[in-house]
Amino acid sequence: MILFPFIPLVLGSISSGWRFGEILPPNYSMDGYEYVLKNRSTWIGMGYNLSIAYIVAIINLFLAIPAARFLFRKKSRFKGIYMVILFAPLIVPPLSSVLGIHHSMIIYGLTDNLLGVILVNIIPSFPYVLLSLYGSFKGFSKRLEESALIDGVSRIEMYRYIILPMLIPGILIGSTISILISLSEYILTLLIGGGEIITLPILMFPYLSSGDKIVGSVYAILFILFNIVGILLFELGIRFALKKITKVR
Amino acid sequence: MNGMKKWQRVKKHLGILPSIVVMSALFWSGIVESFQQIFNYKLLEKVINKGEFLNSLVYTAKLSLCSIILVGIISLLGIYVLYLLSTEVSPAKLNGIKMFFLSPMYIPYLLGGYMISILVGQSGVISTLCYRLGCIQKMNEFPILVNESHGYSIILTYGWKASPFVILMVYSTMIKINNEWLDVAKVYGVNRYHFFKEVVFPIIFPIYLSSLFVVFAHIFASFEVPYLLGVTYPRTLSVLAYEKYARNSIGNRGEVMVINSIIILLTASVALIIYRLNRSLGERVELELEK
Repeated sequence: MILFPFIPLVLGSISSGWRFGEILPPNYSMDGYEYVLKNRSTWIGMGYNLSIAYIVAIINLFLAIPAARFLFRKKSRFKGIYMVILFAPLIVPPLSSVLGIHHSMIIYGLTDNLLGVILVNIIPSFPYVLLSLYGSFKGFSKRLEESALIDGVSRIEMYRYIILPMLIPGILIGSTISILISLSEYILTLLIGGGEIITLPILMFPYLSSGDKIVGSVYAILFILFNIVGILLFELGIRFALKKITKVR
Repeated sequence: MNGMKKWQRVKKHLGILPSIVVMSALFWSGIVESFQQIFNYKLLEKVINKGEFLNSLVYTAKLSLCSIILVGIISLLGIYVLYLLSTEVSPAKLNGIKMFFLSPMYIPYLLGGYMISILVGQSGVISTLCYRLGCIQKMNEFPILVNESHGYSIILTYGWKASPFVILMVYSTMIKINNEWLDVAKVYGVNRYHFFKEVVFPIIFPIYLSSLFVVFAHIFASFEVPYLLGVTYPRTLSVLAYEKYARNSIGNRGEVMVINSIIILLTASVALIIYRLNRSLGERVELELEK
């Protein structure tokens, strides 16, 4: 009963590059895989995709950690309006906003290049990173910070040894979501990137919309695997980096 | 002395300042630019009176409504199943099952739409099954569900992808409900169904409703799924805006901005509704739980 919705999930994987006719596949072949993997654009797309996603994730972290600290710790009557400003893309569609600034972006020379695409990818992903950090900050007593300050710990040291370790779960979850979102982003990247910046979703789209079972499914499987690998790599990297930063000598 | 205090006050805002600046520059300036055109009343009239905008608005609303109803039903069933399982199965196993239910969330909308299309398309899996079972003789006897004007595949895709989100939101509240209450209720001869209806559901209702509204706003303004699975007429609002812009960016820009502004206004009002809902219903629930 409930499982019915998940059949596409399973079937999407079975029909990878194998289906030919409308009857269950009479022919199996790896042609689909060959076509996709030999194509140079596939690899260029993956490269762009990954670099955009990673850079965006890191920028998001740098922005969100101090922002979260302010929002969930300090008292201020501006908190409400700050939350509206920062969380708005969750409800108001980013596409409408980006259609609006596209014109200005052309003027500032931010279109058809990597920088513009990176900037635009921050919009939908940042709120989620902020949200994940919220969970980490909640279970973390303010007194810890205060007592550390009293003991004469410097600002930077406090960040390194006290705040960051507490935030690790939130950072991992937040970066995962951020990467997931920017890897799958289609229309924003297409709009701002022109045809110059190619990512997997942009490459896949024509095959997906025509209902092509062979190449489309291959791309789909590739994309899912790509996501998983991309996220895992980033997690390992961040964990390693954080461990080094927060190690007390 | 006063100067010092003022600086202290400003200083604590420093942390959040970069985010605010970036967000304003990137996102909010777009909104402001979109709104610039809405004060041009002649343009406003032109857009509203031209046939397609109203059609598109109604179509988008209908589509979103059907989708959200489907999402509501599927997620409620999912929650109920999870609830039943939670009373029988160990927490570890429950977590595994929960992951399974939430798996569609990891698949992006584009892929989700694609998977639905190969499932229910005329050359798709279900059609093939019907052919094998002898229900239909030829491929095009199977009803057209993809790329057609009623948007069935669009609705199905939203139902599949958005329900896990609602389930996730509700689950975290539901898990706080103490199972001991259920044991006590059982002593009085109440079965699990009744317990769900009378106790669990009223508690999860606020978050359930808010999540549904959040999903509704998202569906209403969504672009990718209707663009993938939809038709050239009627189009949803976002697709309409995008295609007008892509076709003739300088000329149509005014109209596109107006459409954008209307989308923004509508989604913002939904956000307000969510906020109000959370305030009034949420407080009552918190009090109940604390008792």
